Amino acid sequence: MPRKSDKKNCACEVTGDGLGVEPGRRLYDQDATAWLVGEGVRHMNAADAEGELAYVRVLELLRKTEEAASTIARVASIAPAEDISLRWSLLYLLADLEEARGLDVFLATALEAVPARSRENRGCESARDGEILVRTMAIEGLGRLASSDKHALHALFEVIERQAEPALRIEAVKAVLSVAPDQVDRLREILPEDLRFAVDIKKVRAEVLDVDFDSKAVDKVRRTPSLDKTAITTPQSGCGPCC
Amino acid sequence: MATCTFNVPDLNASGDNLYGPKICSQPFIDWAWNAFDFDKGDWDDGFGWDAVCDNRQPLSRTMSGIWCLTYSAENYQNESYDSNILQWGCRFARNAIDELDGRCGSAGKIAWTQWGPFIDNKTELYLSYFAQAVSLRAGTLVHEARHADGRGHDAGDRDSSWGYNGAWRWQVCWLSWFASAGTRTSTAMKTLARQRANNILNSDFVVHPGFNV
Repeated sequence: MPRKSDKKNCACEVTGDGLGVEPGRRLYDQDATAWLVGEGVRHMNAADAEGELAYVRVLELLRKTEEAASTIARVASIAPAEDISLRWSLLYLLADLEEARGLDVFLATALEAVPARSRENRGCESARDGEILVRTMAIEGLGRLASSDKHALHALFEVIERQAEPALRIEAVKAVLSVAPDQVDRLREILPEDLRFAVDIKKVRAEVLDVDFDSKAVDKVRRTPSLDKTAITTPQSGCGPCC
Repeated sequence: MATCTFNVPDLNASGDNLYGPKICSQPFIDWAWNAFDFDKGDWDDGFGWDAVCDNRQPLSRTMSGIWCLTYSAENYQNESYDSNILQWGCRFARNAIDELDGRCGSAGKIAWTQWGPFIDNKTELYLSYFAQAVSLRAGTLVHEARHADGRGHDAGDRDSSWGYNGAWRWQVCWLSWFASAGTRTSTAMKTLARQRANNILNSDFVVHPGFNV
C-alpha cells in the first residue's frame, strides 16, 4: 500500500466511491485452437525477445489449423462487450495471421454500427471511442488482406459505402489507397463531399509532430526514480549467525 | 458516494500483465502517489489502496498508465521541455494535474477534469479508464493534464483546429511519439496508440488537420 505522511490521508477527510471487482471469464478452454488463441493474446503484449518469439510460434501453429479464424470469431462472440482491449486484440491476432478466412470476421466487425453518442457519456473520451478502435483494427485487417485479395479490397469499399462513422470511412479510404492508389477517382465519386478530403490525407512521421509548449505549471516533485534502482529487489537480511 | 462493480478485462490484452509487475516497486509507488497527489480516501473501498500491485484493481491500473507515461522514452531521465513529448509528457502531467481521484463514473465516460480559480481542481478517472489498454491510459493522462493546465475544448467536446493547441493535439502527439519511439512496451501497445491517434485526428478536430500518423 502507498506510504504517505500526508495529513489528508490520516484525517480521512476524503470519501470516495465504493467498488467491487468481478473476475473475468475463462474464454479459451473450449479446445486446443481456442487455447492457442489465448496464448496469442498472452504473448502479443510481450516486450522481450522470448515473448515475441513465443507469439511468432503461436502464429505458426494457428496458421496450420483450419479453424483459426472461426475460433477467433467464436471467442470474440463470447468476449464481454465492454472488454474493448480483448476484442481489439483478437482482431490484431487475426490480422497477423493474414488468413483469408478472416475476411468475413473483419468485414462484419467493420460494418457494425457504432453506438450513438449519448447525452450522459458526453465528455472528451468515452467507451464509444473504444468501439471505433475495434472497428479500426478490423479495417486494418482488411487492408492487410487487400494487398493480395481482391475480395478484401471490395470489402473496404463496402465499408466506405455502408459504415456511417466518418472516422472509420476515412480508415477504409486510407487502406484502399495504400494498396490501390489508382482507385482515387472512384473514391472521390462515392465519398460525400464533406469526406472527399480523406483521399488527400498525408501520412506523417511522429517525429514531425509537436505541441506549442505554453504551460506555466511549475515542477512540484523530485525527478523520476531510476529504473536501475527500482528494478533491484534484494532480501533485506541482517547479519546471520555465520557473520 | 456511489458504488459500482468493475468487471476485470483480459489482463494480457490490456497490457496489465506486461506493466503490472513493473509498477510493483515501492520507490515508484511512493513517487507516483506523491507526484500525482493521490489521496487514500479516493482510492480505498475497492479501488486498490490496500493492494497496489493487484493489477485487477483500479489503483494498480492507474499506476501502470503512469509508468507507461514515465518510462516509455529510451532516455526517460531527460525530461527537458526542449525535447519531444514522449520525454517530458510525465513531467508536464504530474505538474499540471492537481490531484487524481478514482471514481465509478457513469455511461462509459473515461475521465474528467475541473480547473479554475476558487474551485477544487481535480482529475477524476472512471471505470472505463481502468478498462482501457495501458498505453491509452497514459494518453488520457496527457489529455486531462492539458485541461488541468487551463486549456479546455473550444468547440463542444472537440477542438476547432490543430492550431488551437488543445488537449486533443497533445494527446495525439504523445500517442504518436509512443507508437513511433516508445520502449519497454509491445508492438501491440504501439499499434493501438497509433490507431487511437488517428481516430482522434479523424474525429475530434472541427477542421481536419490534413494528416494521419
